[in-house]
Amino acid sequence: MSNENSDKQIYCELATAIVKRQAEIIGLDMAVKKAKDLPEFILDDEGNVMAVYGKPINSLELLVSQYSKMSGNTAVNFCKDAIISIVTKYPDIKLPNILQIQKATVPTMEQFLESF
Amino acid sequence: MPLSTITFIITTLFLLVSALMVFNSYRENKSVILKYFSGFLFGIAFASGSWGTGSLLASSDPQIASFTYPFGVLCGGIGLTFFTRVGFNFTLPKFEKIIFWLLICGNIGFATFLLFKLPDVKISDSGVTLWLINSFQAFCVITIGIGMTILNLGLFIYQSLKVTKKILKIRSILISIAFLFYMTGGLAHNIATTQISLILIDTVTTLGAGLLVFAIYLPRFTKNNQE
Repeated sequence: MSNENSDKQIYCELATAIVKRQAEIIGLDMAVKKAKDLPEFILDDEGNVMAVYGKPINSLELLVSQYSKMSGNTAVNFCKDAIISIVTKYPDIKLPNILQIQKATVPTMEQFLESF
Repeated sequence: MPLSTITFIITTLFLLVSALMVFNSYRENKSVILKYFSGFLFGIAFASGSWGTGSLLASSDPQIASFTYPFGVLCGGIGLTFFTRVGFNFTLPKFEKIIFWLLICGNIGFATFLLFKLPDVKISDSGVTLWLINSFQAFCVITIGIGMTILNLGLFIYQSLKVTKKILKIRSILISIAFLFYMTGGLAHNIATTQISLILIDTVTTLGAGLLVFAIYLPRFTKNNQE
């Protein structure tokens, strides 16, 4: 149960990072509005995501798709870029396919030495 | 059985065990770097296996034995190329693929060049295998080998400096020392002609392979001790 809660917290962090990075491209108001259009997310006007409902992986995918409808692949790349530091901090967190590449392309020697 | 054959067999077994352990981990978590690292271990294991076979056949069939030398260099070279790929994957991932394929082509070309003058393989009275290699070929093998060792060790140590966990730091230091021992011993085989030097070289090579198994098994060992 506590694992599930901490995972939810991480997904909130991921979603916040995505919204805030999108705000740099399309503006804070638009980035927040687009996220608020999705019932899966509860967030404040500053773009801080406080709750993620439903399956977090699917919800994150919906959020990324929402932004990619506006700015296409650039939005997806910005989303991936936004979450790198969080993914490095929590390497076991599961991500939707659309956000997978960054996780695979940022291996560290520490992760390698730990993996065998 | 000649003394050299025994040390080659032990070295090959150590390396094969290491390679299989890493390959098993790769099958579990599908990390591409583990695939490359197991490629490196399998490559040098086959190289040692090939030279061991040569040593074993030296008295009965020296002609076949001499062919095991370039074949071993090819296997070892391919193994080293996989290790280079590991290092580049961390440091310059953009170039890892092109460097890998360039080195593979270089290896094939170099092994072909070695076929032009095969070594004379002999067993000394005390059971040590003497590889009488053409001096120019030996010079090329040693020069390229030293270059590859410095490159690979440099990349590996550079990345290892960023490791923070103590047990992983020890693991990376052991792998670096093991690699240095194995390469020093392996390359020195190309110039050693006296029995004492060959015994010393065989020992260093086997010690390197042994250290590698220990480095790979170390975290499991400490985990078992903690439980």
